Amino acid sequence: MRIANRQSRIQIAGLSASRLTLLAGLALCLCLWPVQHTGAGEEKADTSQLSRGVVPGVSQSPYVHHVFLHDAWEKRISPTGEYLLPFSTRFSCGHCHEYSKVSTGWHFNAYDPAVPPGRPGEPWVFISRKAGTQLPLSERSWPGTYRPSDVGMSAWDFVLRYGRHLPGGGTGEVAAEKDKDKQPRWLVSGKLEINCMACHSSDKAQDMLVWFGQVQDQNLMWAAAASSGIASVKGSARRMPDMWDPAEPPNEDDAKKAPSTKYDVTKFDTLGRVFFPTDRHMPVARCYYCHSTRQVDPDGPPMWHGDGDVHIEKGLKCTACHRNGLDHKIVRGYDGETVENGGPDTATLTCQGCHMGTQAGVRSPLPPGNRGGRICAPRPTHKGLPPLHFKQLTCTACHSGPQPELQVHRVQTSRLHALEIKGDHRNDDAPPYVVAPVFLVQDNGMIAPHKLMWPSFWGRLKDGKVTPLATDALAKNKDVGEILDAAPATPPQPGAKPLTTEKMTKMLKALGPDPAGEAVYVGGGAIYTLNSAGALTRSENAAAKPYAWPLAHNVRPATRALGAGGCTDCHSKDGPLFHAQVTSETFVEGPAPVKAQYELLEADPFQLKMWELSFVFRPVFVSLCVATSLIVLAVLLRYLLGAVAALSRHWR
Amino acid sequence: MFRPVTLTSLAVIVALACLHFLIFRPRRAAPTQQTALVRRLSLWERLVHAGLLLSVIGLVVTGWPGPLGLGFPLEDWMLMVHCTAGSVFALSLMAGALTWADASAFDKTDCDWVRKGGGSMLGRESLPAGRFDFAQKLLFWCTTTLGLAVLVTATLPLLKFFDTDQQVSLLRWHKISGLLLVLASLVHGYFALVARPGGWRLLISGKVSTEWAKAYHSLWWHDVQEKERKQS
Repeated sequence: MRIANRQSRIQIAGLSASRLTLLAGLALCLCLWPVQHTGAGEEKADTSQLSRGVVPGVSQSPYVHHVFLHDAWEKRISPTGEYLLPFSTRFSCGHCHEYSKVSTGWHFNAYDPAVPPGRPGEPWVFISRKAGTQLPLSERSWPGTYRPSDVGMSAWDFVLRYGRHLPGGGTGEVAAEKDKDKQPRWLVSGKLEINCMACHSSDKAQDMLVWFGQVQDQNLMWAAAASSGIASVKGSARRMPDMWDPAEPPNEDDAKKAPSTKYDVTKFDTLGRVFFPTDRHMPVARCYYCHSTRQVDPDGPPMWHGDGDVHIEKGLKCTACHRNGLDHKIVRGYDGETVENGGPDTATLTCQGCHMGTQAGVRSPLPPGNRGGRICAPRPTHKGLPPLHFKQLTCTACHSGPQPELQVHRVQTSRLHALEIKGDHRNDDAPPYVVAPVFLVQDNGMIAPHKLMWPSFWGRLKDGKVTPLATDALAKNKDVGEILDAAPATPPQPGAKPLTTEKMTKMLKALGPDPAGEAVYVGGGAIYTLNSAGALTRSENAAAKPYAWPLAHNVRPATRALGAGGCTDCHSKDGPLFHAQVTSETFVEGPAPVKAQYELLEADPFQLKMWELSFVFRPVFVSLCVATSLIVLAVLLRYLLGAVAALSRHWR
Repeated sequence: MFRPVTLTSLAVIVALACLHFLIFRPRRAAPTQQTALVRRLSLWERLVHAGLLLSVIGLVVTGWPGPLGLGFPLEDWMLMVHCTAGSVFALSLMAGALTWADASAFDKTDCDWVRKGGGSMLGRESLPAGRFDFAQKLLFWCTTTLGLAVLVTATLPLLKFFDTDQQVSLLRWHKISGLLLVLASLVHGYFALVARPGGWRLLISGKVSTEWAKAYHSLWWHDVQEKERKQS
């Protein structure tokens, strides 16, 4: 009886259980058919995900990363093996996460000329204090920067110089294949794969200084494993001959100096897996390793007196706003990014998007009319601030960066000054000379705070265009080399400048005329050349213009924003927005040229003065308007009431 | 939105003025101009009127090009001139309200004016009127009220009580009340200068011909004569 009931229950729409089973089987085959016909790489990723029951981005519960490690030759790593190679993120992390897609992210794709450059950002800077050089470099075509290849820097040179703050991938991996001259060294050192743990690890043992050391030793393939805390690496690929193959154990002679990997066996479980503590919202310290900024102000308060970014202080993490999908195209968060990226979400992840909610005409995943924005961001009121300001200033103009003062200070950043790495370079006078906040008008016509530096370099002037000299060209010139070698590598006293008029004249003479152009020195917002009498002359040139990139952090709270103290925070002769002094920091001896902020903003000084003068009378103006309004209102009321009284008398 | 509304309303006002001129102007015999003059506006009144006239022109010239899409947004110099003109407007508005409110109070003669359909304004015979007729009084109260609205909606955003949305809303009302004020001023200007020949003298000398006074403001003309008789 019970069986009969069950049979009748599973008969759906007149189909028997056997027919249903057959149909279900057919449906399953149809569903799996596309999976079986995908490309080789995708097939691997998909099947691995299916086999492990992982469907990324479905559950809010993060996956616990017990991972089998594989080396660069896809061999599974056992910590007790004889000749151990470092694990490869491409084949360990990439087992589940599509490595090729990850490598299209902003952190890795700069080498690719097909990628749109986006808004100018922080460049790499080639620095030589002796030669008075600070040259902004970028593989992206940001106006004002030079490509590393413009100064003769190969992918190999670039990785060794800046690898300390590179997250791997890109130049260290893809561009390496095209670096024919250095190919033997790349084969010895391996590729600098994406170091996933550099950002995603929440293990406090993750040590990027070890990564830096490994890059210095040219142990590119070993760097990720060594910095993870899972393995220790000894030896240096730098000392190995070009013919050495890292896949094979070194011979006895090379054994001591060859890179060798030793895994911490306690990190492996009984199945041979390693636990990687990761966090979808990684700790802010991971971002700060490359994205810290320090204000240089010997007279200022010590660092511990200062507050951090208001968002971080309130408990948010960088990834709350700077989000990304598997493609790692992390939201940069500036206005107009949506247009460049075509994603609707990016518009709601700007300051305005989060704090003001949905805007008319902007594609957004938030419901229409949403006024609260994202992640409970408070909606600002800006009481008393004329709305005109929102057409002319970015949010960051008032809320971001160091508190503006009348003298713009130098700042140092992780990537430009290697703040995280101990050494002689870590002092207040260390180049490159970058100042902030400097207010400039962006391409969209809005005023925004920037970090700014004046390029300084030796070059050739031809047809009004300056081409920088290759980094080794100076050293190759014997006379120039002698002049440069005569200068101390570190300043004899703080603030001492390496380039005197005499030395510059000597240098320009030594470089001499060339078919490539006249020898010039660019620095401090001008170019220096020798006139026919052999004397140094200074003139203007587009190549000497400063390179600037917008800053957005640290964000200051409303109480510390520009304007919190009233209109005269900016509209007065002491307002830093227009009157701060910006020094054109240079390597040239003598007082550095100084420009006022209003000059950089191209504001009319007379108009500015009149405008500021009007703010002296503003309280009088407001009082006058209020008083006259009240008197006119009184007159209107008096006659209105009189009229009402007369009418009521008439009707009575 | 401001641009089409403004252009349309200006076109409507100009069209109505032309229509009025074409329909009524030829039928009405204009008072002859004669040498005998009577003072209608004192120096103070002319100053107040000039202040209002010039400040409104200054406010329109600086305030409208931006919203009308003619370039020159209300920034920098334009904003400075606009605010300066605004202070002159505020003072002139107050002075005008105090000066002309009494003479603009409605009375019984206004009822006759309304009942008989506006007198000379609509091509009929002139009706007895005091210093100001009903239409002038109505325009005075309208312009004063709109002037107050313009002033309040410009002043309130300067105080630290209103957030951005409220300020934007107030400035929208500032534009609307400003537009209505300009339209009312154009109507006033048409009737004062075009529909009543001789009215332009008021702006400069403050005097009108006795014929003009008798034709349009007979009761006021009698009052003036009465005063002169008493004084002599």
